[in-house]
Amino acid sequence: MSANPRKIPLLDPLQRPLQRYQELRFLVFFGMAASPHLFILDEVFSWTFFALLIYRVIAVFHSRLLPSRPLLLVLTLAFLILFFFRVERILGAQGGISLLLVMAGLKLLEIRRRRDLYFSVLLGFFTVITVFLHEDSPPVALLMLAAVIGMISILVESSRIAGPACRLFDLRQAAILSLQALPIALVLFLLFPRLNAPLWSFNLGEKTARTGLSDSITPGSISQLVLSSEVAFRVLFDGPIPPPRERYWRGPVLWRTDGLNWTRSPQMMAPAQEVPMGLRVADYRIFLQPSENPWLILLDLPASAPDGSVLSRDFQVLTQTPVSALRRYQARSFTSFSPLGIDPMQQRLGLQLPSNVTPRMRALVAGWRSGAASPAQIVQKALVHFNQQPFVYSLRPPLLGNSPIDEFLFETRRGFCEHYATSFTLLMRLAGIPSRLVTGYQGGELNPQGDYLLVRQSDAHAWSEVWLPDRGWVRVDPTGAVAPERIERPLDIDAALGEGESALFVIEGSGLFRAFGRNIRWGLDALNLSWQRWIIGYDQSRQRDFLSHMGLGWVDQRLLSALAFGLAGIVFLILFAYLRRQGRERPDPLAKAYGRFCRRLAGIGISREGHEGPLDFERRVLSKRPDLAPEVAPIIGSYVGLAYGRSSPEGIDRLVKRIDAFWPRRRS
Amino acid sequence: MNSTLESVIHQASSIVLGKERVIKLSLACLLAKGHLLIEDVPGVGKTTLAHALAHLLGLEYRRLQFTSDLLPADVIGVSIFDRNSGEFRFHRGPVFSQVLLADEINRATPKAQSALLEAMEERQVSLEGTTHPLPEPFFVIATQNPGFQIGTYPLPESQLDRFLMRVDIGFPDRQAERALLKGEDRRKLLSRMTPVMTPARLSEAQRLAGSIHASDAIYDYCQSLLAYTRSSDRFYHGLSPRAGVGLLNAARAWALIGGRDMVLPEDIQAVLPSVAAHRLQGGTDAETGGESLVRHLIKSVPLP
Repeated sequence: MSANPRKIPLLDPLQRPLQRYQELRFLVFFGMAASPHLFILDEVFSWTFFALLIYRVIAVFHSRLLPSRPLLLVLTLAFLILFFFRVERILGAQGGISLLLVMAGLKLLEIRRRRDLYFSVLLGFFTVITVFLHEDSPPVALLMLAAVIGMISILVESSRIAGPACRLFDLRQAAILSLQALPIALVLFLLFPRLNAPLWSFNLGEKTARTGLSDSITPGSISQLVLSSEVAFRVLFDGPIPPPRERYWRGPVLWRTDGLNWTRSPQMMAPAQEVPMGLRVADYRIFLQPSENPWLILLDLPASAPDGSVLSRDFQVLTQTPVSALRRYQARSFTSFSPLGIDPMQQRLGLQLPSNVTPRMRALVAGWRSGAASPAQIVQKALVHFNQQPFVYSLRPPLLGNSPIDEFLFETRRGFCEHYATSFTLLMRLAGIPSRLVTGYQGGELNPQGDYLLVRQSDAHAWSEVWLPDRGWVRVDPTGAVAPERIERPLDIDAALGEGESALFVIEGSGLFRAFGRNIRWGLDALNLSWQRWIIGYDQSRQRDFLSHMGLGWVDQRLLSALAFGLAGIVFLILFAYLRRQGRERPDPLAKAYGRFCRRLAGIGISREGHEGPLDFERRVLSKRPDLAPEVAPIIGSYVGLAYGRSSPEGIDRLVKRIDAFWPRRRS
Repeated sequence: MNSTLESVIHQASSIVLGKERVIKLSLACLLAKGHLLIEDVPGVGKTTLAHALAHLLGLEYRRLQFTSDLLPADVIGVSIFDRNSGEFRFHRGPVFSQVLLADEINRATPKAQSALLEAMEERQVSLEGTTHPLPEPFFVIATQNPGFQIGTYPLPESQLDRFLMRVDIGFPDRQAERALLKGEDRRKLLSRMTPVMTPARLSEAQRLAGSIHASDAIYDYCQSLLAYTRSSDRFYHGLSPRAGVGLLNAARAWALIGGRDMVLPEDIQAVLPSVAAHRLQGGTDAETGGESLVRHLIKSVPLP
C-alpha cells in the first residue's frame, strides 16, 4: 500500500479524502446497522465496539487522533488475543459476530479516503445480514432497512464527482433505488429456495435463557412465569374461537414426583399408539415463539402431531430439536373426544407416590373415600374441599419447607395453580385414582384487531388429569374450584397479586387512555403476527403452498435451487457483458435492421460476405433471385441513403418497417 | 457535370480501347487532385492514356522522357545569365505545365526523380532563393516499366507514397485489339478531338468531388482498413495517414464519377487496389504482391 505517491494521480476520486459530513453519515448508519448486536454480545465486545465508534466520531473533528498503521496493527493483535481468551466457541455465530464487530470497529479508525468508505459500506451491508442471525422482529427489520438505505445513499453520494446541492437528495435517490429493487426482492423472497434449517437457528441462545415452561415443576416455577408478559404464542383459528373454558394449551405432562419436584416420564414419551376419536374439532395455526424447549404447544387434546414432531403416549407433542426460532404449524385438536384408555404402565406411573406423604394427607383422603361410591365422587369431594375450605389464590404464596404439599394443604392454604394442581394430583393418587400433572397455558387474550388469540407466558398454567373407569382420562382443574375467574377470563395480574405493588408495567389511567393504550398494543401485536405469518413464517412448506396455488406445484426445491443459481449466473454474465460493452458503441437501429435483412436473405441461402458492400450485395441477390427486386431494391436503396448519406430518424423508421415486412421465401 | 465526365470517359475509351475501368480510375485520381503512376510493360498505351486524359481535360501538356542521364535542371529548369539584361534569368523546365507526363520515370537516377517528386508534393519549385509556383492544376502522370526490367531505378516507398494511385493497363482483349489494329493511329485520332473540359471546369469538378458526403460508417470502415494493415502480420508496414486521406478522396471522386452524392463501401473497395497496392509490402510472405495483399485486406475487414 505504501506505493509511490507520485504514481497516484492527484484527481483519482477513490483517493480523495473524506469530508466531515461524509464520515459522520457513515458512522451513524454503521452504528445503526450494528446496534442490535450490542445486546447479545459479551459485554467486553459490545463496549469495545461502542468505544471505538465513539472515538471515531470524536476523531471526525480531530483527525490527528486517528491511530497510525503500526498502532492499528498492535491494537488488532491485542483484540485478537482478547477474543481468543474471551470467547468460548470461536466457531459459533456469536464468536463470529464478536470478531466481526470488533474488527469493523478497528476498520472505522482506518477510514480516511473514499476508497475506504466503499469497503466499509460493504462491511456495513454484511453486518446487516448478520443481525438477522438472531433478530427477526419488525422494529429491527425497519431499523436495518433505514441503515441499508442510508448506506446506499453514501454510495450514491460518493459515486458523484461534484458535491451535492442538497444532501437529502442522496437519501431520496437511495430510497428510490431500494424501491426499484423491491420487485427483485419480492421475487427472491417468494421463489428463493428455503433452507430447512433457518439461518437463525445457529445456536445463539448461549446467553439468552428464555422464559417459558420447563420440563419439571417445583412450587413457584410457574408463578415466576406469570410475572412475564412475553408472548408465548399466537393462534389463528380457522373456525370459531373456542370459549375460555376450553382454552387449555397442552404442554409437558408430568408423572413422577419426589414430593417436591414433578418430572416427565421417559416411558410415556414414546409415540402414541392410541388415537382418540374426536367429537368436536378445532383447526388452527400456531406461531410459537422460540422457547428452546423440545416440544410444541397445542390445544388440548392434540389430534395429531404437526410435521416434524411426534405425539407421545401422554399426548405431548415432542420435537427432535429445541424450538430455537419462530415455529409455525397447522394443528388440529379435539375439544371433545371419546374416552381415552389406560395401559398398565400408565396405571403404575399414575399411582406413584413420593416418600413424604404425611398421615394428615392420608386421613383427609380416607375421609373422602369412605363417603364416596365412585372415583368421580371422590374427585367431586376434593374439589368441594378446595372450594369450601379457606384456600386463597395468590401469586405470592409463603415459602414452603420439605413437605410442601402437606404445609400447603393444612397450614398456609395460599397458593397458585401449581400448588393446587400438584396437591390435587397427589391426593387423587392417595385415593387410588391414576392421575397426572399437565402443564401448559390456559386462556389467551383475544386480539380483536387481528381476530387471533395471544397467549403470554403469564398464561402459564398447571392442571391435573385423572383416570375414571367410565370416562377415561379427564381434565380436572382444581384452580378453577378456588378461583373460577382465573379460568373464565384472562388473568388480571394486578388483581391476582392481591397485595403488594404491581408486578408489571401496566398502562395505568382511566377509561379512555387505557382503552387507547390497549388498542395500540393490540394493533402493534397484530402487526407482529402478520410479520411472523407472512414474512418470517414463509418457510419451505409455505413456499410449496404458494407455488401449488400458482399452479406450479411441480416446482420442487431442487429445481428452485437450480433456477436460483442459474438465474444468478445469468444475471452475473449479463452484467459482466454489459459492463464490458459499455465502452463500445451500441449498434444503431439502422445497423440492426440491416443485419436482420441480411439474416433473412441468408435464410434463403444468400448470405452477405462481411466485406460486401450493399450495392454489390444487391447485385448478387438479384442475379440469383431477380424476382426479389421489387422488395430488395428499395430496401437497399434507402439503406444506402441512410447509412452513407444523410440519415434521418423518419427514414430509419420507414426502412425498419419495410425490413420487418420483408420475409423472402426459398424458391420452390 | 456527370455528363461531362461521362463524355470524357467515353471519348478516352475510344482512344484507349477496352480500358474503361483504368480510364475511370485515372480520372478519379485527377479529380482527387492526386498524381498518377501508370505501370506496365512498354507499348500497351501508357503514354496514350496520359495524353488522352490531358487533352480531353483541356490541359496544357508536356512530356518528359526520363533517362539515366537526366539532371534535375532538365526537369525544373535552370537559371541562365542573360547577357542583354546582365542578370540571371530562370528558364522554366518542363515541370511548369498543367500535366507533366514523366515517361519511364524509373529509368532516371534517384537524383532526377527526387527533383520531380519534391515539385509534386510542394506544387512549387524553389531555386536559388526564389520560389516559383507551379501552374494550377498541376498533375504528374508518370509511367514506369515494371521493376524487374533491366536498367531501372525503382522508386523508393517514400516516393511511391506521393502518387495517389498506381494503375496498370494490361493487354487489350481480343476485340479491342482487333479494333486497334484496324483503326487509325491513335495520336492522329486524338489530335482531331476537341477538349471536353477546361481547367475551370476541372477545378469545379474537383471541388464537387471534395464535397461528396462521407458518413461516419464510411470513416469507420476507412479507419478499420487502415488499422488492419497496421496490426496484421501480413503487412510489412501499415498504410500512412496520407494514404488514408488519399483513399477517401479517391473514393469521393469515384462516387462522383459513379453519379452518387455519397461515398459507399464499394467506392472505397473500387479504388483501394489502386491507392494501396503500391504502398503495401508483404510482411511474413515476401512473395505476396500488393494486389493480393489488397484483396486479402478487403476480404478481412468487415463493413461496420
